[in-house]
Amino acid sequence: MKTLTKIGILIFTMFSCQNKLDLIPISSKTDSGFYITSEHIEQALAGCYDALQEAKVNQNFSYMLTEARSDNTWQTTFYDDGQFCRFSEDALNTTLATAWNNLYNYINRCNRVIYYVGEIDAQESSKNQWKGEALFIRSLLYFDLVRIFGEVPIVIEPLTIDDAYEVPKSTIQEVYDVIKNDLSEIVNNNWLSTEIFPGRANIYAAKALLGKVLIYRSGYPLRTNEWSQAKLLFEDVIGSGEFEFFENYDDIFAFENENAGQSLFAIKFVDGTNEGNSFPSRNAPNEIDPSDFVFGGTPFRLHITEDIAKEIFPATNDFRKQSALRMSWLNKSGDTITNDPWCRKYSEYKDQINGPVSGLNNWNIDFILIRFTDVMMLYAEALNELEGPNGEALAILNRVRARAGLEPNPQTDKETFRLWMEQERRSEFCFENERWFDLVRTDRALDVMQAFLERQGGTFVNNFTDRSKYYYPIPQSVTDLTGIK
Amino acid sequence: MNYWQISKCLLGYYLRNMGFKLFLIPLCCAITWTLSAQTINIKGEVVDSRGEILIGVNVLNESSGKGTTTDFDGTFIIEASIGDWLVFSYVGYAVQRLKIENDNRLSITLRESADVLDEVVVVGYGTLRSSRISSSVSKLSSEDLNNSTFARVDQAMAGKIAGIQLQESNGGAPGSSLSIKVRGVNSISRSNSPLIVVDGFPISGDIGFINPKDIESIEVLKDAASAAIYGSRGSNGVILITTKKGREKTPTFSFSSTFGLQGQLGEVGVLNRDEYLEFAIEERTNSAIYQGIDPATLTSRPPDTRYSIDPQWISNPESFPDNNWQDLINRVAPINNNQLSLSGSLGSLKYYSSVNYLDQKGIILGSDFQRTSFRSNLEGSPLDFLTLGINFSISYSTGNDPRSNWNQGPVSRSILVAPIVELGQQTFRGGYYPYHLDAYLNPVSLVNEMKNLITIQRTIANPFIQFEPVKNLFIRNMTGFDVSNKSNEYFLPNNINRGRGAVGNATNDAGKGFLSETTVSYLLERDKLGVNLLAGYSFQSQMDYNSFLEKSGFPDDEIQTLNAGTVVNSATDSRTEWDLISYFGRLNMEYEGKYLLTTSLRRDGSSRFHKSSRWGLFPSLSIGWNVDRENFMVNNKFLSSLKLRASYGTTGNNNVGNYAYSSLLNQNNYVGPNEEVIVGYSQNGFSNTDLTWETTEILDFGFDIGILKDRINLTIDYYISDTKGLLLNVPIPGITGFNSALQNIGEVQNKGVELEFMTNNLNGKVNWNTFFNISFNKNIVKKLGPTGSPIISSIREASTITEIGRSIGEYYMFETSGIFMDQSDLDKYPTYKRQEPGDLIYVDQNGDGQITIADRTHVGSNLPKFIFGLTNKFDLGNLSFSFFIDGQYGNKLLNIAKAQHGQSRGNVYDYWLNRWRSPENPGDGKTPRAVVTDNLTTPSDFWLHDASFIRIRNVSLGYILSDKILSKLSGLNVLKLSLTIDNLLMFDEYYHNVQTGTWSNSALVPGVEFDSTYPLARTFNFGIDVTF
Repeated sequence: MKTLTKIGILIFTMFSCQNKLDLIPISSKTDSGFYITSEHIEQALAGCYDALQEAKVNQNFSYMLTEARSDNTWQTTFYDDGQFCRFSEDALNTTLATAWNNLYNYINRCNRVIYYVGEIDAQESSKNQWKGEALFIRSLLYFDLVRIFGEVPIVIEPLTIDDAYEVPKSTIQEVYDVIKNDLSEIVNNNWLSTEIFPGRANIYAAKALLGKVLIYRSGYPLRTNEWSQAKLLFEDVIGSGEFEFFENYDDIFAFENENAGQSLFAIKFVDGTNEGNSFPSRNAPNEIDPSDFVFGGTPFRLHITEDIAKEIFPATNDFRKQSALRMSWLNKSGDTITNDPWCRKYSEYKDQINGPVSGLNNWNIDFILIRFTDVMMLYAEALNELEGPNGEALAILNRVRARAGLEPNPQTDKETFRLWMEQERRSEFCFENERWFDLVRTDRALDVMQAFLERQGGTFVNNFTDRSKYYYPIPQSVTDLTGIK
Repeated sequence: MNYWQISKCLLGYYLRNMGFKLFLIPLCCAITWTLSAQTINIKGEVVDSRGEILIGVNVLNESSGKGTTTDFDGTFIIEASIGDWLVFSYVGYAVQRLKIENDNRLSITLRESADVLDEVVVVGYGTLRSSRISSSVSKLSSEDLNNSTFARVDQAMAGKIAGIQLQESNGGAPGSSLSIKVRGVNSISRSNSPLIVVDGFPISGDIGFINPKDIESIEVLKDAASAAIYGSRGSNGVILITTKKGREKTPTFSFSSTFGLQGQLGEVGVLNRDEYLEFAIEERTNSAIYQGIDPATLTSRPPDTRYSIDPQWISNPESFPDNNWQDLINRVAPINNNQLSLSGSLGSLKYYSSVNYLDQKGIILGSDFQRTSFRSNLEGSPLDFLTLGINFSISYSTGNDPRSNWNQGPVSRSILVAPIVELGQQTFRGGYYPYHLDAYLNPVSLVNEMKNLITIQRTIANPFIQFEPVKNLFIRNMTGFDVSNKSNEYFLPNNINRGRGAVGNATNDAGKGFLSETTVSYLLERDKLGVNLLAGYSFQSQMDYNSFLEKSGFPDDEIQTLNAGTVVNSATDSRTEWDLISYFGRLNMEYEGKYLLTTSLRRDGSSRFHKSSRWGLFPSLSIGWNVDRENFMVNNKFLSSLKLRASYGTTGNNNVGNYAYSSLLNQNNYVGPNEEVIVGYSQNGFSNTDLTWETTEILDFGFDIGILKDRINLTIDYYISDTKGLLLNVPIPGITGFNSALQNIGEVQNKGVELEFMTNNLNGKVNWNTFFNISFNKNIVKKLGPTGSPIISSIREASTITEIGRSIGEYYMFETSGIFMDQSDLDKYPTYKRQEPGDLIYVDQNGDGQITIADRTHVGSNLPKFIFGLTNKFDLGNLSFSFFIDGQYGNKLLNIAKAQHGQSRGNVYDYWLNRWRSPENPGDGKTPRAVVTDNLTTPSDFWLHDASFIRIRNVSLGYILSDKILSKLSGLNVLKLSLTIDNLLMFDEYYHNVQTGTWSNSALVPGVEFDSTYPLARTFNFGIDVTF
């Protein structure tokens, strides 16, 4: 029976290892115990900037819902943006759901930083800077949401699942108010530094963004007439002397000028890691031979419309055409293609590969989100509205034209100047995802795009007959779940 | 025969034999009668179905309780009276009962146990005789498994057991696993795979390491009463695999070898050159018109894949080749499987050892699989009260697979590359045909140049020690480990990466499993009462390591190991672990062999859940009644056995991630001012401390009937299985920041009937047995999410719906009703987007005169209405013949690739031959015109296929040389020759491919195919088995 006792003891000892069930993840952090230290906040903030890399460059919706919608580019029906080009999308289009879910995911990252930063033990100035950065990024995200979907729910702090079912859609005005208030708070309280750290938000970027938001508010559909507030903000930025109007268009996108003075805020990328920029590879044709363009292209590239290749850049002496379009290239079958140009902004500088690249979609080059030229041109728009076109406004326009190698425009009236600005912005910012939003805010989209669809063969004109297509439908999956339409 | 008839028989019996004692109670009668009857010596002989004598058969006089065994001549002598019942039992054979009518010499033929009911059945943590089982357990014996030439255990199980659905989850690729489902789909978002227990060790991962020839038996615990002893892991059923042990007195060597040749069962129908050119010209012309391009310009436009036509197509079509790419990547491939085993016993030591080597080439070039496995099972009793043993297995396998199932892999490309592409074209070096999509790479180059080598090692050792301190009290401990290592070396050369430079990666997955369990069991046998008590404790842990390294920047394609790469694309390494602590107990009782009761209880604690919700209880109860042993039944000539069973129990499913209750942080990095990477984090979801396992309650009623001396056996089970607290990734409003959250919400019911039917149609010179099983399962979602709103899941363009009152994951798309034949049709029906004659008609479900998202509807389910298996075996002396058929009916399969079909940028399926060409030439009325429009990418039932099939899975012819002749010749005991054909024929609607949907197959979005299924092989095998 002694053996029996021993066995009994053996069994009993085995019963005592219940603490073995308390396993914590070995290779991942969890949310319990996060957002507590200042390091955590910095890590969470890096997660917010990561969101900008995605939302503005690497995610397909960044260009599918913007540039693909415009008259600059065209896509085959095989891709989601083929529907956007033809105005034939419905709420089932998966890119819409991806955009919706991702943008709110990114907003949630910002919300958590804003929510928890107050509880952190750190210097007040650091806390303000972190809060300012998170608010700045969130403003960019809501600015996209409201321009893409129009009326959307506003979420400005962490939300429980149950509460989320109760949040209604807000009006366009309400969403813009949140953006305006957040940016105003940054600007008024100096929550961002005046020193410019590459890839991080600064006070000038916040002012410029607020100015741009006010210009949008002053356009379709709100027409709030906030031109003068916008003008003051732009004057602040221009007058700071921190920024530079490059005299050579091509230099703006050059790798060697990364972080240089004509960029208020750029999203940083680095090659050789998972932090590369996909913009250059994505815009190159899938068929291009890698000997002609390093690592080749992708099937997602947008096709350049004849409109922009031939009509908008009629003069070969528009330097911007040279800089933005590759007219001749070699395909994998060894043929030289000359009738299907592709966008080479950021990709090539002086006909050379623009900066380090370690693989397809893995480029070092940063993506400039707020360009000094944009600030100047929006300023000119504000001046045109407030003071008429023939002073500083026309000077700015002609400065931009001169840089492109074009003749200056003569004095004109307000309305013509608006159209000139529209045309000039199209050339200046082509393929930078500005065109569609510009057309909507000026309420010119219906006229311009119908004419464009007519030129595209005319078979899709009937898809775009009223302003309901200025905004994309709320994704069906959202409607199915919450009833929001 | 009804109750009245039975009673009358009994009455007559008593009257004849006992006269005036009629009015005494039956028990007294029986005793009195036994004492008063006159005894005689009954002699006889016992043989098996081939006429060979059987030595050591137990012969028991049930009436007197006396017993004996057969001697070396297979004969016996036993005392008995007229009217006594004799019972003959022998391991591996059916128990037979016989009533003594006179004193004639008896000749008894015992039948092997494959087709009998009373055999030893392995249940969790022990064994039971099947007559004592009151729950739903199905068994496959080694005979069922050895008869075929399958290389994997799961292949050998397919179609053999009612209620078990096995599907080739990876097509016909060599060495690939099958998915196993027991009684339908319980879980919406979790694994529906059963728990697999090998020699008492619950294992995770693939069971491909087990050599089928080492297996003694496979038991499937189907209802909760039997599976509840495995608690939180039992809800998808439990498969118990038991390997062989030494039995024979003398050492016995067995050698078996099969050699086979495999060829492709069926090809996907595609267009040949002339058909393709006609299609391409038609499609591009129509597409140009649709896009507003002048079709007359197509031949003069620069080459592209959409709106231009190679002038040569029209002027000189003969100048293009007519390649059949499927043929070009196919081959007749050999398969060779060799096994040597030694088994026997030495004193109390029983031993079984085997080595196995399998070498299989795949029918797709570049694919193969080799497995070497070794097993040693030892068991001995050095002392009377002590038994020691170990089951030890080690296996090593390597396999090449040129990513055949990838949707950009060679199988897909062999379908999609046009016949007019030159042999060397569509690669970086060979150049691309400019009118053809360059992404459709040359399949021959893909199979020849891609490197994808998978190596798996696995060692499982579970030693055990068992004491018997008091008679019939057993204390047993098993402590074992399961160590595995899987590595994958992958290299995509520049030539087939479209000139983007080569990419290589290496994945390494290592697992370390540990199990210690201690059980105490007590066996009590009184005259009428049998009790079996079990109590136990177990601790199991698993640690998994994963590392992945990917590099690019290779100078060329020559050195393919990662040292040659210059750029690190990814380098990760991570670990996860789980622990499970369990206490369990079970009571088995039988009374008079007639009344059965089993009850069990298990308590599980799992590290996967939060402290507050990690412990759970899993009770079960089952009862059975062996009606045939009742006195009123013993005389029944028609019903030879009858058992009624009822059971109820609870099991769980804890197949969630290892730290599922907590919200892990994603790493989302950014870049600092000096181009350095800054580590960033964000939440990837909500944590849920209430999260716990899914609970399945199963009520099962069953009966087993044997008719006409068990020549007809029938088992029927009816079950209702309710799974509650589904572990569901519930879609949540995206404005929370997340799309879904894992919650215990929802309820699914599976109801079904399973029928197993075994008949001995001919018995005598020719022995003919038929085994038939069929199972019907109906799946209904009962509750969902907080609001009960349906879950619409999408996969690429298509979607499925899971909603209350219907089955899980039904396809949810537009319904089509043919083709717009002409303009008048177009005027008659509403259109979707832009449609013209020749396009698909979508049905306006809500009748609002337009086609919108609201017109999506239920267009089919991937769950079959029934599945069945049928085996016929014929034995004629030394010759045996069998064939085995299985199939399924009533389900659909989604080919998501159909969103890309119909574009002449590559080849298309042959159904396009029946396309609408004009109102005068409208085709089959189901296939639209050739044009690239939104119609192609609009999800509809046009993308579905009927997934019903009947497959003749195995035909086998065997010849056994009788041992008498043989031993004189060579000293061999048994020599068996066999010829088998696997996958002889298949009747289906899907090009003889597997109907599984190999590209993606989850409960919510089941059965999705992407033109990329590794084709099935038809195999001719020749085999030889020798025992000496």
